[in-house]
Amino acid sequence: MHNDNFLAQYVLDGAWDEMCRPDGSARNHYVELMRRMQHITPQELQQRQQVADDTFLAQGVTFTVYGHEAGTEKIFPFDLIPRIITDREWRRVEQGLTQRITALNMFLHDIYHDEHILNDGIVPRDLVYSCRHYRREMRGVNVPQGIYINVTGSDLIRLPNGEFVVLEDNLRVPSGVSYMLVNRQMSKQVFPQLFDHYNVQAVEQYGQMLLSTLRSLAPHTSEPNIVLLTPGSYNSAYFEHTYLARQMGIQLVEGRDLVVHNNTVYMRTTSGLQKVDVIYRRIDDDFIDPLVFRTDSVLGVPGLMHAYRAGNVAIANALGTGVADDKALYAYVPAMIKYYSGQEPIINNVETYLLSERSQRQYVLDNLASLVVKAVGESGGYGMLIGPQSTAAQRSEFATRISQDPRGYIAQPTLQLSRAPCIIDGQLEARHVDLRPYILYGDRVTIVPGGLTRVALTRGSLVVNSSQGGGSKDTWVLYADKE
Amino acid sequence: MKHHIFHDTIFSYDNPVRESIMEVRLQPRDDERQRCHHFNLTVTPRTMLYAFRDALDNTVHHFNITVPLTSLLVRAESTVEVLPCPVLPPQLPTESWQTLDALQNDPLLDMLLPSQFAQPTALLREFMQQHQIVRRHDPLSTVNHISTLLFDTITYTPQSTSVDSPIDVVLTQQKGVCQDITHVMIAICRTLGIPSRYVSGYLYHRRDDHDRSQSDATHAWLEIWLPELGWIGIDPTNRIWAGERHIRIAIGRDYADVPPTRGVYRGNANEHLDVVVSVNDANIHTQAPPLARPIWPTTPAIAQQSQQQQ
Amino acid sequence: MAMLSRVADSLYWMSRYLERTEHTARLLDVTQHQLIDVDITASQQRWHRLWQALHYNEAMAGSREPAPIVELFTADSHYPDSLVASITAARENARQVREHISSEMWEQINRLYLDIRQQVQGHHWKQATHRFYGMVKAGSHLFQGITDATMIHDEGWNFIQMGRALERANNTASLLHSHLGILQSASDEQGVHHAEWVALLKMCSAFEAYCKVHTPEVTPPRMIQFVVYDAVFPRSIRFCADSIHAATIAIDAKHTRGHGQRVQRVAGKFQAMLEYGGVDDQLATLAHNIVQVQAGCSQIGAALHEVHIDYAVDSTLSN
Repeated sequence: MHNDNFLAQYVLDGAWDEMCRPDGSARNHYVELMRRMQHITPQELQQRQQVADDTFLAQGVTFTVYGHEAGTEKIFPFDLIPRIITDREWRRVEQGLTQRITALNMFLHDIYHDEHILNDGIVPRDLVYSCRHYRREMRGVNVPQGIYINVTGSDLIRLPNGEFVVLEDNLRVPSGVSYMLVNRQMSKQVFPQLFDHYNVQAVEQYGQMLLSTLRSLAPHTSEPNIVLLTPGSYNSAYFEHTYLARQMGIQLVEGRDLVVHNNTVYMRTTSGLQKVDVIYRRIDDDFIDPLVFRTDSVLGVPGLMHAYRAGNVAIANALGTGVADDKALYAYVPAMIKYYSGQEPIINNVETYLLSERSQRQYVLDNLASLVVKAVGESGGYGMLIGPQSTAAQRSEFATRISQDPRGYIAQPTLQLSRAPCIIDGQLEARHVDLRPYILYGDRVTIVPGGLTRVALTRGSLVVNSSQGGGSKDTWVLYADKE
Repeated sequence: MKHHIFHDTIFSYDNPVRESIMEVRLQPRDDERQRCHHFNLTVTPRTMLYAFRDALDNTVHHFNITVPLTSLLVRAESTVEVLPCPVLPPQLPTESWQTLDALQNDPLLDMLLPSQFAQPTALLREFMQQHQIVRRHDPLSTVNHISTLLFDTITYTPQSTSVDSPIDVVLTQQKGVCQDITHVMIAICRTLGIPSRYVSGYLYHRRDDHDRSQSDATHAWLEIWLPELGWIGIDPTNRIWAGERHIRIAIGRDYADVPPTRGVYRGNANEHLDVVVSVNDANIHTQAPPLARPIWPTTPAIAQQSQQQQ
Repeated sequence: MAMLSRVADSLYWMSRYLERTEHTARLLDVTQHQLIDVDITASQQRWHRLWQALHYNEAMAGSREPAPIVELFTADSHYPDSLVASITAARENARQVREHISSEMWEQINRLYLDIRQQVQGHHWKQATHRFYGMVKAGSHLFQGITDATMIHDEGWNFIQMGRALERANNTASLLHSHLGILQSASDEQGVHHAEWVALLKMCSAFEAYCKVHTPEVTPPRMIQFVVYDAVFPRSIRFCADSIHAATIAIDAKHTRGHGQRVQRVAGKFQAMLEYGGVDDQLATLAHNIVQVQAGCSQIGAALHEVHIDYAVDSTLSN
């Protein structure tokens, strides 16, 4: 049965469309997908969507939305239509991100040791020293293999000309990878036939890759005891913590399960204390050790920092990485790449205005209506002003905040994120998407093909974060021969 | 001048506490201005002690105790030789201000930026305005002036503040102890662009030193960085430059970086802290003071109390 | 993979609280519905025995009407020993270790919790109390069945068995203790007490089983022998002791040799006490035996806690 109305609502605008060329024809890699879509009735689509939703709920693939009145546990909406990327496009992304993460890691090592990049004036010293996440306790501390950022989630968007750029890096406790894995499972269940036609690169190996990465942090121990440290069941990403721990076959622990004795970290088990060698931590620096950081934290492990400094336990990601995903320092990442590798960045940044700089700040204050303003230390889409969609009152409020704390904000032009086909009430409509690949850095940098495509499900919305009503898609990176 | 110091810290708990873990900054520095000839740290009940040097070259000891505790004693004993303060010129050239202004990209920036206890609050700015604290001819004379002003304005009053009092409390009541006066001065100096850092240590009182601060206690003052002179210590509580009588334990941005002791424990108990300090001339043989007995006060203290610097 | 102490503790307490919930329901149910036709004095005494069995301060009970206290023990979520407080605690412990129990187990305990709360908050339970208590018992049995059928019989499962058996043994002992008066009564009063003995057996969920073995003729010595020392009746204290001992052996099998010795030893002594124990026809030593049982349960619980859950850091550093 041919679904003629299927594409009726699919309107193109100035944004790059993942599926269609400007003339409305489907891009090569979407042709087959579209053909199949047109042969499914809206009812069938609705049914498959329902199956997906039910499975998510039954599996407990939920997250907590803060400040949302209608209850706290929600499923992260999943859109059935996969987002497809060609191998050629992906190869470039992969190279660019590898280059970027390598440079960011060298930056972290540098600023916590000899500070060459600061001494040479490439990155302003005061930007680093005044960053809330810069941890002086990490000065001079050596981390295993010199790798600070073992797990990174970098957010990419596609500009109207089709170019991928990095919107921001997440180097502390990036989340969402469990959705990437679950979405792939869902796709296989919902559209198994599509996988016959499309040769999609696998993502299921992520758990194994992460485990190898964590193992590489304890190279001298034959069977290192690796644990995943979670803040507990009230954390919004708890599902992911349990999921990953299970995938990797490692113990999921909370702060109170660990104890530091004689500068060594142990786990409290029914057969006595067991030494811990590697901690994959999903707790922020602030809360991870009440002896050294926030004393009011009940989530952390007293004495952990000392054991870490002494090299008695490895922690992924290292402490103090938040300085490199500060949004103001983001503007200097291209400079970092050039400084440490001598190369031009393969993937660019988005143009960024640093509000601590007077002329840039003035420009931003004069043009708030057309810019996006972000708080440097926030994530999840909070603390953000989207100029074109804001009210005068909101702009005024942000102007005040900026004037009071210019170091705390940056601004970027409002971008037209690329759009991808989504099923909205049985019809195909275009919605803005981004892409978050997950980059692992152990012995070397490895990236699982694709990552999480997040969707701004509200028409016209540019906010893709889960905590603010976004959704996600399965991301398919094709093998080369199928282009 | 050579000093012999005993520093006892007794923690008492009204219920046994478990898994006590602590870091202490009690070992006097060893550097170009001061030589620590001997240092001994004893913890009772006995346990393994660990130490490391932090980024500012302070020695930090740490340990954990596994047996249930109702009292814990940390005794530090040291012999330290302090060189006299370098002779200071009456003033520096006015161009020194420019040298300071050029420090924006220097590692000294750490001591120019606001820190937890040394923030340029509205009250501080008001205070500075009220007392016309501005850049004068040169940084050296400016610092001297500030020290005198604070000495005259803020009354040294033990127990008028607590260990975590922000400077606004001190500025409002115009009372405080060394820790507070030092924080205020650090905040002022940084606002004026003079790098300043906090020093935790001891002051040796001789009979005819009429120091305001309490004798036989820990002490706090600051060091300011001046062109051509480097780091110079100044003690606004006593309105003197830091010299042979000032023994430095640790340096940091403010108190939060260098508390003499800091700990965490498991247990439903209130902690009480007792500190006994004895600073003596090393050339005169002194007996170790008797061990202070843990005394549980009639009113419960706040848990995890740290010691304030007098 | 090693078992975290916190997880073992939560599984253990989930199990204990669930057993406690069921026990409370059964006692309230039997007391309210079995003995409607007895005279006032006997009725008051019956209620007093119940409060004693449930550890309610009898002095406070005085000559109070039973109804408010029944409500307290059933529906007051602020009263720590109430039925609703127990199921809440059981469910909260389960929630904390949700990854360590099967999804069916979680669904069942959550459903039981929600059903009980709904009945209690809407006061519906009062309209058909027998059915309400029956629902509680059935829900608890279902959970146990699901546990045994869907959870791997590993260390965690053994902690669950341990929790249930210890709670049951202890509760049965307390119940017998509160009934000492009517168990050790002189022979001329026995006709009066027969109904009470039947009720007591029903509170142990033992009446039908007892009748199969002994015929409906209920006598105290036989009752005690059955409820305390019978080797094959699953709710006897002896049976619980066997389960506890078996659980400690199974738990210790996974650990380095000797780690759980102390718990095994205490559980072994307890088991031997029940296996080789008994009472005479006059039940002269009954009070003493019951106190021994309660002490034994307490020792086992303490040993379990000190060896596997909350031990001093330097006491054992295993590999």
